[in-house]
Amino acid sequence: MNMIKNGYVAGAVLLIPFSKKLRDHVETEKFLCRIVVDNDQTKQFKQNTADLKDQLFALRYNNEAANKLTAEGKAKNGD
Amino acid sequence: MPQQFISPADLINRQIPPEILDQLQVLGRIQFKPEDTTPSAVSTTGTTPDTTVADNLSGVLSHVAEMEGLSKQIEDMIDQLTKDMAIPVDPNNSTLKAAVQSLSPTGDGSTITKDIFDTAMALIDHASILTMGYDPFLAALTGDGSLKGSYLNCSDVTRDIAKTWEVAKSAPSSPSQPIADQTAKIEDNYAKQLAQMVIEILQNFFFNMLWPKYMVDLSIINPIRLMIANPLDSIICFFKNLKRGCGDRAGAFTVKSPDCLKLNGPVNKALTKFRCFLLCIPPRKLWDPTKYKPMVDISHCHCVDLQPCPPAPAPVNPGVDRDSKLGGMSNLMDSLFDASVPTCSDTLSGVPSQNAAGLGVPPQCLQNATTVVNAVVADALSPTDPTRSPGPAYGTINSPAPVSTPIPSVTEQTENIPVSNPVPVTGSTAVSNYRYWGASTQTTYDAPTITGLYYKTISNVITNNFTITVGVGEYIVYAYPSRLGDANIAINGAPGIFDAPTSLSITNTNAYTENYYVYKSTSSNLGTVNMEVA
Repeated sequence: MNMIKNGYVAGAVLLIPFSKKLRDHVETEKFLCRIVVDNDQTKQFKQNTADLKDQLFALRYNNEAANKLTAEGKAKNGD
Repeated sequence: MPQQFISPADLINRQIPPEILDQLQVLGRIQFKPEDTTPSAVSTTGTTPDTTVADNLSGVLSHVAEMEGLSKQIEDMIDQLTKDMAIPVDPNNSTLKAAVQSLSPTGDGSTITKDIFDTAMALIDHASILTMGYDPFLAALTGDGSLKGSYLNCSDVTRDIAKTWEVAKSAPSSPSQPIADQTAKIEDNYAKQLAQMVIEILQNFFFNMLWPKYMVDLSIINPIRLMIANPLDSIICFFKNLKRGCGDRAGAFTVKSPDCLKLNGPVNKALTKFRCFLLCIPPRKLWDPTKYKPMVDISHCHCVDLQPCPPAPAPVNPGVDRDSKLGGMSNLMDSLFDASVPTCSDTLSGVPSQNAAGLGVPPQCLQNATTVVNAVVADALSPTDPTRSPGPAYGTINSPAPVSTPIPSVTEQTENIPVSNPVPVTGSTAVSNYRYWGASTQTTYDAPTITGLYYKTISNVITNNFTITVGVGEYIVYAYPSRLGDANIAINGAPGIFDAPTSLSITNTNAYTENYYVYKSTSSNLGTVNMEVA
């Protein structure tokens, strides 16, 4: 599995499903942390998600409903 | 007592009572319960809490941060190891070639590159949203809100396509409505769909089996025939002097067989008509010609005379063996994935209420993506060409992502491993070979003797540390590749006394030959000693 074939390492392709499940799990945990705790670390969580090449998970943060769930969003919305 | 829902907004910077944390942990909403170092907010009314929820959750946040770093490192590693992907496409495989072309219009479809593979993976990842589904979390937040975006071609969907999307404002959606309400609504819909599906399955299971026929015959018809119909018909037929006989027993004043009575007895005829009526009842109500194909033979019952029963559904394409076996299901699948067949998803005409902006892709895109991904996985699982070079060791990735907790690297093997469980030689850019050691009564050594020693490990360094027991008449023997240089061997922390090393050529199990230095202790019967090689 560590051999290069057609320019890529076969084992890396077979690792992709695990990688995607791990990312989904991590982003879910990050979002839960963000809506419960508002501190620098959870702000960094949100920024890290925004910096991802695949921003599918950023949609969870970037909407009004999610904003209102956070202290940051509540302040912005004047709640 | 009315059911109450907890809004996450109410929990921000508030202490969560331990009993709620217990429930969250049981429900799987949290993995770790914070250390219960402070009493709950409920029980500490009137006292100042020492810590907040954020403090209690610091351990969880750190863990999530570590998981995030690990995830990023794995993703970067995969990107690094697949960036030069160039899988040739079999020119005779028109399906795969067309799929590759659709995902990369500028290409000729002859090679699957990393970009094409990424596009295929993005299509699969985003399939739920692209086909008008929802991310569960997003759906819970936005209610019936949707995404705004333009209609896409297959090749337009890349891993960063989500950057162009926006969540449409949804007027009814309000965070003042607890998320639990919204998720409960979604779950209710799913539950209703599931219940409907189960009912349909049970209906098909019930009425497509033969046992309704047996149930009617055994529980109602047969007992009545034996107890009532046959005796009555026998008397009637005896005195009626039937002219229409039953085989050899034709004629008047003869005993009629049950079959004869069943066909000719007036009571049995009425009973048969009643049986047909019972068997024809279920189809009248539930016989959907697109789903129900009766296995019970009721043709002789003339159900049409009793009630309007539609005929069993005919195959869509009669004469095609595949269709007859699949009952028309193949045509349904063809229509889903055939680009020439217009579908709702092609025109988006049927879904404006769900997504007015028209975000989506044809179902053919998902089919093409699946084809490409399957081809890549098949290539990855195919036997490796031995003439190709080995890949880099995983520990030598050029640009690993900075993480707070890196993946533990594989440390050098320092344990004594019996020869019966040799460490396999794996592909690596560095040359490694076995080191052998053990106790031996021999004083001269050849290759089989050395490779037959009890311990061996793969390494390309000279340092080693191990414990060995040397019995009466036995000497310590230690052999390692001579290219590693001279060794200083200590026994129990003191310089060991060894004979001058001899040189020996040894061929390992992978047919690789190399010169070795073989050290032999000058003394025997040293007991259990700790060896340090440097």
